[in-house]
Amino acid sequence: MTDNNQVTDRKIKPFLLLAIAAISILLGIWVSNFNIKTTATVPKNLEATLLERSKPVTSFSLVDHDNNEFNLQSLKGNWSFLFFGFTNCPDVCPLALQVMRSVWKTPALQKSIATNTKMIFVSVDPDRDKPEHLKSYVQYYNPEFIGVTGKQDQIDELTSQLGILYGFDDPNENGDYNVSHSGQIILIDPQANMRAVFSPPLTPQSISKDFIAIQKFVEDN
Amino acid sequence: MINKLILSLCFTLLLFNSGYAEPIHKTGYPTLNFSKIVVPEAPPVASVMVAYMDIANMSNQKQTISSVSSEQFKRVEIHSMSMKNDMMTMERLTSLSINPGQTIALESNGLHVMLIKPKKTLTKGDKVELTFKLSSGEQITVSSYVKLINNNDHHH
Repeated sequence: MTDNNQVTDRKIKPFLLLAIAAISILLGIWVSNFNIKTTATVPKNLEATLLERSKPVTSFSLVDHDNNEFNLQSLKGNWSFLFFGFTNCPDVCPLALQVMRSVWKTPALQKSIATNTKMIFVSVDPDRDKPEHLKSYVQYYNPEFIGVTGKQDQIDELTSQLGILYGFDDPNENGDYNVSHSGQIILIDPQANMRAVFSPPLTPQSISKDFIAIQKFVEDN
Repeated sequence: MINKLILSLCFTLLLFNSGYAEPIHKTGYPTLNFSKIVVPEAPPVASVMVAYMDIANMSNQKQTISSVSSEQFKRVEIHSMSMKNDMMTMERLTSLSINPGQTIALESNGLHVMLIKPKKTLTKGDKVELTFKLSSGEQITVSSYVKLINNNDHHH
């Protein structure tokens, strides 16, 4: 009986070892393929900063330039480019909006622009930038662009989670004040995840090129 | 008699020419030379516009711009834009000094002339006049036309 068991063990062991070896090899191939596939699809040579892990945007509540609610749901189902500034900005904000306008007109992006992309200018200066004023301002750049604002604490709900900074200078003798603010454009995917940051100097060529690569990367994963 | 007439005519011409030469010298060879002046069109509701340019000091001494004005705007100021604490921060300069032979570029994300509260909406093709007052007392008026910027091509 013991001898029989030993014989059986001897017969089984090589098979077991072979099976383990085969499974290990297959597992190894699968894992390496998986790794190769993952690294191969990460876009290279991006000027944008692609977040290693997408960051879900959480609940916020603002108003668009038609006084309609603009919230987390408004970001879902489309890619969103967000820039934060103010309409009394002479230099940085007009430049960013001009760049966004050029990206919007990029021929290679027309399919996604037409179906699922939004360009959003968030004013962090609600005292001066009322929705109707914001509407005229952003739609000068493109009638499809969306102006968004809200109360200061509501704006902070969004800026704080996207890493956007801003601050008000003391008013001068004329009562005018400047707003210091981040110069980045934030890219949010159709599941409302923060995906990438475009930092100055902003150019429509690099943003368009990177946007195409990031879209493909997100869709393939 | 004829000689006297010719002499006085020459003298008059000399006076006329020397008197006329001064403004030509002033406008033809200013201490500061302004070039590449660009005033991008802004949204009609915008309460500020901007002017970019190169300013070269053609003289052999330091020149200081103490103020800028324009009848077309409530105020005109020179500003610097720079990154501070991860934010684009604008500061008003009370003066701008340019060393002999130096050229300063006023361009986006750097120095700029801020045109505050246009008295009427200015659109593409409208002429903008700016007067730069130097600490020496000299005043230089330059002009440019509002330009539609389709891209970020107002970089030099």
